[in-house]
Amino acid sequence: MIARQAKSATLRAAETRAVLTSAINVARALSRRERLARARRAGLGSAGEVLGPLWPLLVYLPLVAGGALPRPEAISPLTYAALGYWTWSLLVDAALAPARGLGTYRAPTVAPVAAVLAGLLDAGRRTAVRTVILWPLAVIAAGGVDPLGSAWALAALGPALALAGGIGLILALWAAPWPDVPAGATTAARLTLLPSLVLFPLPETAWAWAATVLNPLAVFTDAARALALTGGMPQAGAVAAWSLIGAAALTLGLRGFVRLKPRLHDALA
Amino acid sequence: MSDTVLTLEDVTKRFATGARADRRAWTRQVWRALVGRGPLPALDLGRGVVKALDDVSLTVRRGEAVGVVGLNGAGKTTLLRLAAGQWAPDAGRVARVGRLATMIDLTAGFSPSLTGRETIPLVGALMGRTRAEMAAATPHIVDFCGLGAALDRPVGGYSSGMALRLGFAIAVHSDPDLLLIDEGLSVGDFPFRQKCLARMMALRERAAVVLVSHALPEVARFCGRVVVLDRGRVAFDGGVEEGLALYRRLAEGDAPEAAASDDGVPGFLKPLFRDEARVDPLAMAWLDGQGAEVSAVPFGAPLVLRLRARLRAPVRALNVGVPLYAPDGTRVTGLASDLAHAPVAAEAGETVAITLALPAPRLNPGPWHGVAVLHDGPGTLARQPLPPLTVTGGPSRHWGHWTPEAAWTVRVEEQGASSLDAVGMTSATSAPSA
Repeated sequence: MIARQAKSATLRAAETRAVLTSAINVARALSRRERLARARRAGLGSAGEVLGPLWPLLVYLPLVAGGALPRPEAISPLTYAALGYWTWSLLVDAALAPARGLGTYRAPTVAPVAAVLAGLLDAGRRTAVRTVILWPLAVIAAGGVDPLGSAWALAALGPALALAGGIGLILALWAAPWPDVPAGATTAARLTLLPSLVLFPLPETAWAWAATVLNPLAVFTDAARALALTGGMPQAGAVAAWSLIGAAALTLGLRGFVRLKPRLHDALA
Repeated sequence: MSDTVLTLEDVTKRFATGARADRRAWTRQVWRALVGRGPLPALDLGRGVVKALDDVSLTVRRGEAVGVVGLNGAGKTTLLRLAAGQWAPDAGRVARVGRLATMIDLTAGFSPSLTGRETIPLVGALMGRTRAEMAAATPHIVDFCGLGAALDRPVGGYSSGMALRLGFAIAVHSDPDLLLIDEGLSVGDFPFRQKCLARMMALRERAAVVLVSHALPEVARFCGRVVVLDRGRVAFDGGVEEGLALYRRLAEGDAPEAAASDDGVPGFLKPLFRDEARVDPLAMAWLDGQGAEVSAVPFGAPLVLRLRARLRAPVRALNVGVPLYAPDGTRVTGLASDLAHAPVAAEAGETVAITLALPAPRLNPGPWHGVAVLHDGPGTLARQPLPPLTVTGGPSRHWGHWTPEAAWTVRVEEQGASSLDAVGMTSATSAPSA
């Protein structure tokens, strides 16, 4: 009996592995197709993708330098904005990737798992480009980073990505019948750029503190940046709380996705 | 022994009739999936529900080619998409073994800005093939599609025929265990179609094929088994001829039960049809040389088909086609009024009188069949069987379906002689040497 159960579990695992391998191959093909097509259509070609991450800095840094927006005290504004924008973009991309994947690759012939994975691959590629562009700028402007702190910063991004991924999966599931939701969510996410400690600090007031700890984007962006540069972590309690919520959200999102996976095509049709 | 490649067991699939109901149901389902316990119930689609498939069971084995026929809305495409795993059944089970290829949308996965050559590995990957497999298959695909230098141009600039050729070439080189085809075993121009058909016949030998089609001759030639779907249910599963005969009867509007009975009209004349809103039943008669109505005429005697059609709606380009069939169903000839007479316009309430004169038809003796097909431009108003006609008498021996007027010369050549005895005979009194 136990041997039979073990064999059945082994078969299920092999089947799942085969499905996942196939989905990853399809996702890679979809993502590659989209990348090639986008590069052909773009006015600046691949250069447009490289320049993309620099636009927010080019817009906001002059405002910070001119005193129109608050200036960070102990960190160079360029480092502050570059690391802040990198972290914020990573989290927003991770949250929107499943919905974007299902929206972009919503064809009857594409399995929903492959579509979501393709969305994540697209997000990963954009993150890689931003890393290559923004990190050198940040490090040069800061005159170096704390290596141990950087490792802690990357570790802190784990729960942040879990939260983003969990919320993203739930959003993708709910939004499956509405192809316009990912575009709306992208617009809404852009609005969070200003109050999320991404490009400039908020004043030290009670409302700003409340707005920060209630905003996971701000909490994790500020924490990761501070860890990488100084080794210290602001809002540790909020980070811990949001990390727990992130674990719960990811569990919920994955559970929902696995349970709804066979029905997703019906909703996407 | 053939192994089972596709199994559908008691499969039911429903769709909401309105998008709003569907979306409300989806939101409820997402909530249940996130926080509920136990297996998810079938999607609650509210009041407006249509059953696309109802309790359908089907097994397809390797080496089998199964044709699925049915009227529009019978559930053919739903069955194909469920078999492909693109949709999940509301009830029942779908199981597949081995590699799947679908020819449901041949240009699925194409991106207009990519070249044909770039498209091949990408679409292959979407079909589940590895890079190595696609690298090996690409030269064959390039050769098969025959697009030459056009493969290095973006597919957005292809004609629809070129895109279909490329899509077809990729699909048939995926070496499937199960091939699902929605309409059409071939695409493109005549030579390419022959190439497609040859490839499909080769695939048929080693894979299981499910072909959904309205092209009955294609189904008859390609498939060894026919499934007839009627309003989401399997009305027939078995031999090709019986299945197609049932489908033709369904196309005439008979219920499956009634369709099983013989109405005396040969199957090759079907489907019969009449647009009741536009034309009364056609009044037809065969006339002999003197204008008398007949049902039997001597071989070679002149014949006239008289047809009267009272219109219930105006027509703009009325014309008639009359195919004639031998008793075995061979279409011997077809006659079209618009080759000799321009299509006519007429108003509702008017009657159009048409005659087709055959001064010397020379049809071989026996019963003859045919249909009169009344068209208004490209649309069909009616397709009705001709009155019975039997040709009697004729040559003492005859072959085939008709005997043309002919003259024989038979001579014996003498050695060194330049003049010959010649005998001329008409074909009606002579016979070819065996």
